[in-house]
Amino acid sequence: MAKRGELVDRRSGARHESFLRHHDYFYLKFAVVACVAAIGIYIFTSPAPRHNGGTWYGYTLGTISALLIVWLTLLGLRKRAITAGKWSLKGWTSAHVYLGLSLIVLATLHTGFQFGWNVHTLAYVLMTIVIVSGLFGIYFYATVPARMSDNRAEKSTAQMVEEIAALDNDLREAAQPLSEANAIVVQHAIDNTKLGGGVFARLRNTHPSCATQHALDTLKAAAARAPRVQGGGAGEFAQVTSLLERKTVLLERARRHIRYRALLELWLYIHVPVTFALLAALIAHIVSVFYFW
Amino acid sequence: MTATIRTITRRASGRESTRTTEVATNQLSIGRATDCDIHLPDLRIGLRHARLTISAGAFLIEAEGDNEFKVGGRSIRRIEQRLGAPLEAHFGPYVLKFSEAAGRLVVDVERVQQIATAAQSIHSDQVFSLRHTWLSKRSAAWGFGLLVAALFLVFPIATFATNEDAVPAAARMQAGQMWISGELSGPHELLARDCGACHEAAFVSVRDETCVACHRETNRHADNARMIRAHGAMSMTEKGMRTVADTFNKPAGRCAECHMEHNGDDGVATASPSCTGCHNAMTARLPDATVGDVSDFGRDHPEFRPTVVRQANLRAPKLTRQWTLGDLEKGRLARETAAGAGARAAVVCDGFAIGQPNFRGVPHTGAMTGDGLAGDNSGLVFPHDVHLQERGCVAAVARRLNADEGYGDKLECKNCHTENEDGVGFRPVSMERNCSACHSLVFENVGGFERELRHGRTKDVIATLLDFYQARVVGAALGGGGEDRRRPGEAAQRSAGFRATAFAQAPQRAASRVRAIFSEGGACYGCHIVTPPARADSLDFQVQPVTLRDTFLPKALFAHRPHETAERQCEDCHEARSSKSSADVLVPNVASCQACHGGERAAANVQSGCVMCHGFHSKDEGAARMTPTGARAPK
Repeated sequence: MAKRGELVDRRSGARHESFLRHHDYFYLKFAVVACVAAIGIYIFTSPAPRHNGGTWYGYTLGTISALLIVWLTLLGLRKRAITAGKWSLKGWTSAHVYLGLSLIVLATLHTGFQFGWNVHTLAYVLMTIVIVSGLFGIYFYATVPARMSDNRAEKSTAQMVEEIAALDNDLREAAQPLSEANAIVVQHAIDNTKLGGGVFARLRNTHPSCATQHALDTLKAAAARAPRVQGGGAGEFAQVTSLLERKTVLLERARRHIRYRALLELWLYIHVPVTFALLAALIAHIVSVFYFW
Repeated sequence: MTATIRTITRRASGRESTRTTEVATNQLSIGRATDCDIHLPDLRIGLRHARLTISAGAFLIEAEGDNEFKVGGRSIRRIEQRLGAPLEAHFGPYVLKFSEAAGRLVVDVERVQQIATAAQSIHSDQVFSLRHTWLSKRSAAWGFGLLVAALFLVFPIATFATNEDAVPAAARMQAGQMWISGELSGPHELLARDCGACHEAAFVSVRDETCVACHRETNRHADNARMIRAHGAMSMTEKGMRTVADTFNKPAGRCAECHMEHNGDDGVATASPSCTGCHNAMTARLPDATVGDVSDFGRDHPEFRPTVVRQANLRAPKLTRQWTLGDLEKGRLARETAAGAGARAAVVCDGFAIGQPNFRGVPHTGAMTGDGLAGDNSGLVFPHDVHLQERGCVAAVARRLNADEGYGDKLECKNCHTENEDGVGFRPVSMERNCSACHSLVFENVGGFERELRHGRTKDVIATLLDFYQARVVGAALGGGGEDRRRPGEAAQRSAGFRATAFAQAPQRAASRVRAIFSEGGACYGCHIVTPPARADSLDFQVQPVTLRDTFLPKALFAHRPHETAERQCEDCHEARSSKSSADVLVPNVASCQACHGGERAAANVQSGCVMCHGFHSKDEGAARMTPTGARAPK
């Protein structure tokens, strides 16, 4: 029985170890020890006149934190080169997560709990935003992929799109016998059914003006009105509505996939840009200290 | 046979296949319906979209219902054309090309728009990834990063690096606000947004010259090189931190090392380790040090060494700090032995009358002063014991003066020692304020009009006495003035001989008055040490100047008021009641302080760091002392 957070690949049977559990939580343990040690030193030393960024301990924590931030940023470069082994990308990511979280402790102790409306606190706040957005990332990476994979039913995104396109072709054929008005509705469903859309539409995943749904509703209503006696008419409706129903199912699946992708990706759109704002603020913070030395 | 319809299909490979149908009617239907002569299977085409009518030499296309078709880009509903003239009509994705061959109409039908759906027309990743929304990591990263750099790095540096006059004050303040690393101490608060006031050069730590430019009066604790020599061997940690500080261009011994600004009012280092870092066993490193070694107030503080007067002088008294309290105590015992018990047996109050010229002082000897022995050589003869007696003449005088003059049944310490408003020290004792109520300098009372000597001016006193008494003798001889008035005409009856005698004797009689006041029993003699003139006929009396210390421990600051409690009496610390000489230094010893005060980390006693009493920048004498930060503020 696989432990929580450990997935067994269904085909190969290979054990999958998430980046969170990597190396038996080595980096989590490392980060916890570092934080406890940092807090201990903070409590048991009393630099004059008080704890802040300007004491020997403050400078030490500040230097460690700044180097850590630069290293954490380098994941953006590192991830483009996937390697295995001890220095695997997974190991790197695991360290990124846990050492990044340890910054909450290290950088807070560095401040000595002195905050103000200045570049120093700005850097701290930006760092906090980056870390919190990263926490969202961890949460979504831990929860979304399983749901995503269930939803996908082992189909690739290209296959999903192809399926919908194939259904559109079938619809085009099946709708040939339909009347002008109904044909226009079906054509509209083929031409104007939207996948994707804006950021919020993707996250909400509600599509009140979906052309396919509209066509389905219209044709169902038309079929209900059509006289049963006139042979063939109801049959044509039946084929089209059946196709439209299948299409709506495929659309739902694709749209859920889109939502999951949005959840997986959205935090990065905060994490990455704010990281760069943080780097700028960090440089300003350090320069300001040495400029007015 | 009227028309030929050729349906052309192009394969992906580019191969073209044509299906030809011959039509025999003149009326052809065009539409989506399968029975149409020209079948166009696309939902955009009407079931019966249009009708093609062929007549001799011409043909006509008419749309049916609401349908339209396009010719030359225009949507139309009807067109008539001569047979043979080329025509292209667009029906949805199809183009119909009309031509003529052997008198027959030929229609080429070709689908020119490939079947495409919304889903097919887009790449799958574009659908699924947020990358194709308005969100952009790259531009946001650049945007935010550059914005922060511009606002918080470029703007402040540009502001600080530009000549002050060229930058609006508001911009400089804003830039300072952005970079300030913590509040300044209260007195420096005004400089908070003017970084350049202290940080004169970029990337150079604040230098002492900058501090001293304003703080000209502040006393340096000691020469910097000497202070470095005074410091004990550095621990590994200290060495490491020193190396780092040197590497980052923060030289040792700067003002800013202790005055850590940007920490509010807590930024001044006042912890005792800063002091004991040097003062613990310092005399081994600085043999010429004038202060003793100390490591902890509670356990290891040298005995007090009061600064006493060696030679009194009104302008520049000579002071010494050579004796400890122990030495001074020995001096006191020696003085009392030398004076002998008999000399002090009875206090002479005979003839003492307030406001009378015949004040008689207590006989004293040289041993009353600190002369030659450890003691305070203030030049004043003042036995505390006599003045604090509960019975006897002093108490009697106090009762006579009574509460109107602020006295009780006996003389109290506070009758002479008035606390300053700051509660730290006392107002200087002066003849006019504290002595003259009893020790009057009135020397004659003429008809209810008091004649008084000027205190502190020996020459003036002599001249006054000579003038007064010569005038009186002469006046009496002339029959005027003087105390015994006679009736008019009486003087004239006096003999010329009497007058001659009076004129001759007047100077001697006046001189004897002068000698009396400077000699035993005289008003000055009681309190002052008088040097009589060398020649018997001279009146050149010298009174030794008096220098009263307002503190015997100028290197420390002792606030009296916090120590004043209901139970605590002055005598608990100051042994005034038994002091027979003003040479006694009535300062409590360090042990009496240590009864309550321990070191900075004392467990049981009051935790007392160095700065509770001592100021780092204090000057010894003459200059206003900085109030040590650790001292309790007087209420």
